[in-house]
Amino acid sequence: MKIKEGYKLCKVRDNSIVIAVGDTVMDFNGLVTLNETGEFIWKKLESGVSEDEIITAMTAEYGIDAATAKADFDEFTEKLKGANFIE
Amino acid sequence: MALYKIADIITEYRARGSMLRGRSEKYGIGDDVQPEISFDITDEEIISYRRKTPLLNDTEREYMIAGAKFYKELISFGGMMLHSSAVVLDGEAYLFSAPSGTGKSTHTSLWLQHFGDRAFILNDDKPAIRVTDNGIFVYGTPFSGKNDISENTGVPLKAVAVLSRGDVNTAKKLSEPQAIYSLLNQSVRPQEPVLMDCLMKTVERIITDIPVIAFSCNISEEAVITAYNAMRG
Repeated sequence: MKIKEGYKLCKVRDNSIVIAVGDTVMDFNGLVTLNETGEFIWKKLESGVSEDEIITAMTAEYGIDAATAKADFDEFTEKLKGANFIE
Repeated sequence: MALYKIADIITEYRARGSMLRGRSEKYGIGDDVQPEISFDITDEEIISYRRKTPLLNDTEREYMIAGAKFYKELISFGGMMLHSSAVVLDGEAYLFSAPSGTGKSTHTSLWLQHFGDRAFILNDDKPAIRVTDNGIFVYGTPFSGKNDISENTGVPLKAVAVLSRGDVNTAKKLSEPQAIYSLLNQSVRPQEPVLMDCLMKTVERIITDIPVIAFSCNISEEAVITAYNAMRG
């Protein structure tokens, strides 16, 4: 699972925002706001970390069990797939 | 090539068509200074723009391309174009932003009626905003859309209202993500990641220092008063 090229995570004050850059600007003129967990997962995906490693990192970061972390991870990545952000 | 001072930036380009030349005229300066921005509008660019803009003539295309180039360069100078009608009241700029056809100019013309000599239109469609050490300023530019309604001056930015049509007049502050979206949505997004970072920094400064308001309005004097009260803070 990988974030498609052409999307960029920006920080504007406390807001984590994903916008398009490069040729993608032509296709995606929107903007997506991420919550804290979303930002955490996005950054890991961006740097090519595997699903299992991300879920382990989430349990450590947020003090949650693996099942909860996986549910959060799946929910978030489903949304990203729906928005065509990952391949 | 000729030199112009636009939004306090020394800009160099060659205006061949009457539209670009005419609207640029009052921004002209002497040629003994170094340009900070320099660009060309080539025949090839005008020709390739024909397909996208079948209803324009080449003079209008040259003007549009010059505007697009200037506003892209503006981003590196801590600035951004905001698609809006900018009215100045008592020396401060109030910006009404919305997609074309919503009624930005209709609303700001009501401000002129209501406030009389205290108000004027700074730029009716595409003012330049710049973040400077002395605060956030708005400038008139040669690039003002269909009508040439723009003044060659810069004034402090007071507030931004994102305008929509409504039966009654309401104004409320936008959340930060909404404000960010509204500003980006009525500007031009660069493709280059570096410029995008610059633009986001400018947006960040604007939403930090300036109220960004959701304003729904009808066409009435009450609409002016609602906006003014919400925006003057």
